[in-house]
Amino acid sequence: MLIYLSTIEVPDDREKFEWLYQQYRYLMLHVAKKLLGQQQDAEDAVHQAFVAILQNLEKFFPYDSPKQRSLIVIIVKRKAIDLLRKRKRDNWGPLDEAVLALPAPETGDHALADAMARLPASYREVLLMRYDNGLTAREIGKLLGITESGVRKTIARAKRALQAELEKEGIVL
Amino acid sequence: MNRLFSDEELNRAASQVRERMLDGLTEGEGEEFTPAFHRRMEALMAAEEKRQRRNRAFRRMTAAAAALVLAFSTVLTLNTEARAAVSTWFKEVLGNTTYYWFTEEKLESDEEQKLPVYIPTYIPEGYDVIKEEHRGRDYSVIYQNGEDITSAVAFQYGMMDDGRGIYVGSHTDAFHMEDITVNGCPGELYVSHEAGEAHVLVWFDEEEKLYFFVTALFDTEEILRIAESVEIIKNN
Repeated sequence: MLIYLSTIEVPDDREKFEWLYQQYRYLMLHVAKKLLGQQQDAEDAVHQAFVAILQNLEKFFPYDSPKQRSLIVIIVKRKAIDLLRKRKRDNWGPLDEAVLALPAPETGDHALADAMARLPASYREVLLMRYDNGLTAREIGKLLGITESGVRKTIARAKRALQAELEKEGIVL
Repeated sequence: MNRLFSDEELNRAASQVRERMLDGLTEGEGEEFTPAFHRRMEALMAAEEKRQRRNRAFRRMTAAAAALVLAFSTVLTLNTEARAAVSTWFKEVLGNTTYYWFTEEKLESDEEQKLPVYIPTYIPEGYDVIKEEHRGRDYSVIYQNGEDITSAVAFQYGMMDDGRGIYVGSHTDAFHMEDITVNGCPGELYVSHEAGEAHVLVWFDEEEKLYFFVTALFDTEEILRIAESVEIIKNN
């Protein structure tokens, strides 16, 4: 059941946050380390991800679900990429997300899902947040630290890229 | 080029991509954090707790103001002494979650009210209790028809004690809310638009200082019928 009811006993939010921390921290560190390599950098990304979670705690629940797990993985990935982007800007130049170590999902036998899986991570993940997690552009923006209009533009571009991906394969839905 | 996709198509595709993404991930076993990270997280939690304490103080202030207004209007309407105690509720909506906060005007002489016993006198035929739980100031029971878990109906009620609350939330936007009354008590019905997702009915008996809710997958008329059949069995 997705709609649910629960009683709140103060301090609920602290307990919820602690639950999320205990439940997902190692997974988050693992994801961040795959992208960033260094322990210290990965911890920075995990910390940034928890700050974002704390600021949007109403979007999270004190029980594990694939949707929530995926959302948390996406948030920590984006925080790790933000850190990489910042360092590249400071030191070496632009970041090519395509070379990042986290593999894209395997493709299967569903044309639209396959095309979505092949999209660049920045497009794919914002589509997951919008259409799998049901977040609004404003909520996605708050979690990722970008503007609502920026999210809307990314979603529009991602849809166009999805369409182009299907056309490349000669698929008409 | 502009054919694009329906929300349903994108929802389905995103769900499949998410499954594949999670399949390719390990849990992070063997990962360890440094002591410095733990200290940063403790600082973060401490700062959050401080923020919450401020918020709670604000909520209590708002609650006290609401109780005062209610008590004042009661005196005006009834022209009698202020009631010994009044419970009410107010709500905050954050995203897809609605928080109902309870507030109570309480006199020093008031004893803590014990939880009376209520049950729905109507439950569809063939249903049995599969789980029952007393948790201090709340009671919940789940009924089910045979082994079919999609048939489950949950009924819960509890005290609207000052400073407590309940929340109704959803992971998606696929629902709407309707104002309703149940046996004269104000309530709100959350109607899910997705097949396989439950509806929720929550209502408040302010005189008895109790909140109630029923949730189930079947149609909302049946949920209302169950709600309206709820009766007190024993007054503790």
